[in-house]
Amino acid sequence: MIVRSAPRRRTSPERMLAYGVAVLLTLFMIVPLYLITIAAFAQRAAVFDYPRALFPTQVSLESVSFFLTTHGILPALERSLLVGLITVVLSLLLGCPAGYAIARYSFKGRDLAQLLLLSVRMFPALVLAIPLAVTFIEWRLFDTVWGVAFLHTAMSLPFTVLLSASVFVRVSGELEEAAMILGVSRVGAVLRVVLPLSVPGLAAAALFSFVLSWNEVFGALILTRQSATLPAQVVQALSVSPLPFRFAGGFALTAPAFVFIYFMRPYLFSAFRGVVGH
Amino acid sequence: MAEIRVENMTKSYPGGVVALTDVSLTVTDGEFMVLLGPSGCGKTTLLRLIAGFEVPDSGTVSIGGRDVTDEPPRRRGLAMVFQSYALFPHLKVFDNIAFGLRMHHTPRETLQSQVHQASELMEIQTLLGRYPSQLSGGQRQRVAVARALAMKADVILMDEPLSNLDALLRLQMRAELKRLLQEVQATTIYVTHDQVEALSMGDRIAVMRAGEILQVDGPMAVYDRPRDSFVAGFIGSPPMNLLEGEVSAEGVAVEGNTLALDEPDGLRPGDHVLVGIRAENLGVSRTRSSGALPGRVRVVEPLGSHLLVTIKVGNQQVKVTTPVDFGVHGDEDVWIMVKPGSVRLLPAMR
Repeated sequence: MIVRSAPRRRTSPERMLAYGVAVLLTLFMIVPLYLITIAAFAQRAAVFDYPRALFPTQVSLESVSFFLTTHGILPALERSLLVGLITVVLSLLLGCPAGYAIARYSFKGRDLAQLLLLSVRMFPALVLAIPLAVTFIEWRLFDTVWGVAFLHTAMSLPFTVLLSASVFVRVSGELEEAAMILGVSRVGAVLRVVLPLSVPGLAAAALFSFVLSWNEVFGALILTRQSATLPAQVVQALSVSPLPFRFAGGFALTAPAFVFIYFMRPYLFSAFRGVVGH
Repeated sequence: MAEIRVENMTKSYPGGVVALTDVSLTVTDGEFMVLLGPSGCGKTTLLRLIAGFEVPDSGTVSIGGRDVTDEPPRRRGLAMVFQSYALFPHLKVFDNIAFGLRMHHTPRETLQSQVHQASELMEIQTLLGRYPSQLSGGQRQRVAVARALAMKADVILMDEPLSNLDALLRLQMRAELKRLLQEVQATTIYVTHDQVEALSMGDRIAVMRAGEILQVDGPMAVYDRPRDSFVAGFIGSPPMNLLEGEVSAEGVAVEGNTLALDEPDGLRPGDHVLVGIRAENLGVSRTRSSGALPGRVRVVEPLGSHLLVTIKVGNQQVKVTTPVDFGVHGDEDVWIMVKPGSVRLLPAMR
């Protein structure tokens, strides 16, 4: 006779621990954001309250509108969006072919190339930006949206290349071969078969690039004067700005990334769902 | 006309792996050619070179008289069924089958009729609206074949298409595929490691080993007259019995007993040879007859339709098939009779 133990009961404490840690981590992320949000939408006087009301009854758009109408903020917001989008497009356009090569072909120097790509991340943007500024001045890219976008692209390329490589690896090469027999070139096979199947993973790479660019402040600070991105603009004004401004600014800096992630969520979830191709 | 001609093809991979050595093969128009061999023999490499997925180190491929060695796969007029089916997961069954036709800009009505024709042939008309992930293994296989058939190509390549099916389904599909491909009349190259499949389906079989083609012949010729001991051992279940013997004036001596030889064939007394005899060409008896070999029964395996008896002859062993009611047991002394004309002489494996 086989005596069945109760596996569910046995893992319950472990499960509870896992849930507990997950909740704590979430709180760690959410609480500051929540506090910033309620402060950003609080009436001006309430911003200086201590302790702060956790569930404010009075909502005001004062601080946010003050922030948005401050000179230079809206243009900076636009520029951040623009830089982010350019970064995403360039990173994908340059990164995907490289990722495909790494995924499909074994060539001399493949491992070296990946190592070198990763090593770019070893340099802090601050350090890179200064000599870059000098070069950009010569190339007339200084203080332009494109200049910042190029820096951000360089910073996000290692991730795009390696992420897209890992995505392409999961799409079976046989699918391309089947397509090629049926009448397309390899490029056609990639466009019609590999890319549609890679959308979730590439969406994740796009998301990563956008958020990286949106949050990047030091490089942008050094490479711009008048055409600052939002983080750079806010940093410049930080020392002379009142508290409501800072909260509103904090909210404005984080909110768009959340919106972006919200739209990407379905693609991200299917990216984690398993092997494509069989 | 879709004759396939491979000439002097050599292919090796970085790291020193030699996949094919100076391989040549001609597949005549409409023929069903099977490439048969164990893993690593080069059969899949040869297929892939014919398909155009790889470029040979040297040698040429011609299809229908046209040299296609430098042509990409899409310009070779081929259709292919992969072992893992390679169905496009993001397309419905209809669109999978229609893919090739769409890429060739086939007009809508022709496309519709060809897709429907192919799906009727494979009996999957009801599945056209589904996605591959919603199909069983057997259904996916049918879609893969339908996709190839819809192209109405002159040449169909198949890479172990039945390997991923369970045994019963495999048997069914084998017969269906054979009938289908006979109807379609395309030149077919079929890769498999299963010798039963090869015998059952092929017009001719190319037996391969270690990058070379050992023999290209019809199924019965490969079965009955293998050219070397590898082929003899690979084809047929059980493999052909191979006994060491020495040529004498009267024939060939095996374990002290002489068997008559039909075609002495340039051999001289004293030569060492391998004697090949199929299990069904041997008979077992309890009484001695002239030319019979004495032996002792080791194992009796009842296989339903016949008995497979393993008999020790001197220091060697043979397998003999007998009728089911032949009541023989282990450790009995018996006599083995050889059917006249069934003795083959083979060179030893290299």
